[in-house]
Amino acid sequence: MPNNEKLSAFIDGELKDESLLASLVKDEKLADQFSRYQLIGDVMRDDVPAEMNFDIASNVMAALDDEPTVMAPQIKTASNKVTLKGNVVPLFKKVGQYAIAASVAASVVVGVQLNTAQQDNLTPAPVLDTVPFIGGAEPVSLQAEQKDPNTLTEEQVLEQRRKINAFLQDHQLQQRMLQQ
Amino acid sequence: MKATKQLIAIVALCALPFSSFAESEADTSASADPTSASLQTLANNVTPSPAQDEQSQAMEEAKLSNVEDESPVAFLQKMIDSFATLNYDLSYIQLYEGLVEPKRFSHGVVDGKQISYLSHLNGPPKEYVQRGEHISFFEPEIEPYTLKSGHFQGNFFQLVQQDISKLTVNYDFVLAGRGRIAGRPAQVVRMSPRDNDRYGYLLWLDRNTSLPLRVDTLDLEGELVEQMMTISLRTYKQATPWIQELTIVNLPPIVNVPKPSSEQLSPWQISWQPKGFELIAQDRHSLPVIDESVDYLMLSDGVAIISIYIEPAVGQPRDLMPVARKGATNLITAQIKGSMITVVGEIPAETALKIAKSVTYKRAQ
Repeated sequence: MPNNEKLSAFIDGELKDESLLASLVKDEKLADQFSRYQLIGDVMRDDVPAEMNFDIASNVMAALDDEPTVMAPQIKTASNKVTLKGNVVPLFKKVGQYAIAASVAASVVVGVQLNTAQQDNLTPAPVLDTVPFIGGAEPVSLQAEQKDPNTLTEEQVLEQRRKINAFLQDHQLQQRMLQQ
Repeated sequence: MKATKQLIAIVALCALPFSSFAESEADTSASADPTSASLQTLANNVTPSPAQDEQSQAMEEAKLSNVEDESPVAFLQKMIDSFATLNYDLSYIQLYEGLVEPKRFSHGVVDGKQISYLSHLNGPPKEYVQRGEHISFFEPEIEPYTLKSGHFQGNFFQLVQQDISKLTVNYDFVLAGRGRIAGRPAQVVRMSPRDNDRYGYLLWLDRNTSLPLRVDTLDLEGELVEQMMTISLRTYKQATPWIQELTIVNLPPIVNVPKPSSEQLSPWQISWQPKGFELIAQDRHSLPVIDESVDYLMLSDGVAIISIYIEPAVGQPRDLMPVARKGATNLITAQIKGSMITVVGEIPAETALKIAKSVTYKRAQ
């Protein structure tokens, strides 16, 4: 259970308790209470459950006083838990290669190809024709010929999408980690 | 850059008269009750007590009368300060050319520390908690982690945390009329880029609190590329119970990000970049998921961030290279002299291509 005296220890990564937020997130009913509290619509309709208690912080503090201090970190026994070396936690596990790619891919519009040969004189690029790649939609090839080396096989297209998603994800990650 | 900004914000917080907390103590039960929280937006639906109503109306009028005297830069500075120091719940959507992502951002200051919570409301749950300098990331399929000096990514957060002094070089700031967003009167400020190599921004700021209500990212033709639009904004005198809860909740372990030593200079250099962009990071690392090694450079002009990835080219060079876009973020790949160069950033695709073509290998290494 959280305890103010251990807070700095948590921040320094010395203890590895289960994240309360994660369990809050997984506990739909609890997460729901907070969401509903914040939705204007529900409040307008006075649709707030009678037992909802806004004074949560003091309740938690009161509960803490009675709790024994838990010293042993709880170690997950899930088979895919990565062992920790010191404080370093790997940022990503390779979970189902296509799972993450697919979830990001749905939000990305992949353009059908900019002809770099036309750009040498730095004239403004033509308006990019974009074909939305949402879900399993196949790209429309602009090439009339089938055997053009510029067209990609289905496997290559999938590979390209995975790569694009990896770059987009890394771009986000790098922004998060900006050290100043 | 960011660290000093945050320091300034936190110092400003300490200077805030704590009496503002004291005076609300008599009102604690009322301020915990969301119906009394933001009188302006709730006025139509909830009947506040008459005394409160007069008081808030007088406050609003006093604030609004000063608006005409403000310069656009002063307005934006107020936005930056408000974003970091006020207690509020901001429900908004982000629009990327037909794709809508609703989000909720809650913010408060507890004991001088900024606490915030960002949640993606649709699709797989993604949540982020900021506690002072630390940010924790909760995303599906990924073990939750905390960064010691983390940042929220994206155009919107870059804008509300910007260092204005850096931006006046690259953008013109102009007052651009008024509007009404999420039921609130707004002042519009335009950030016009001084060249054609970056996007422009149109910001609607709440005339009462200066918080951002709407941000349009515009391309060179003035077309909308990405948009942040507030659906509801509620401000509070003190931090909400949810924010207070976040000050004590367990957060995931901290991930140490290795700092590249000064000797590890990149073997690559960029011979052309848009005016006002600086190199702010360089290293060699692995891409997530596919685990491929890349040389990496990051440029920024204070608002837009550009990532440049360099790796050896594989296979035959192709004339046609893929382009991807999500809202303001463009990704472009070009094969140049045996290297595959990918540029990702909140800049027009044409600019990204120019940068890709200007990447060269340093001779002396």
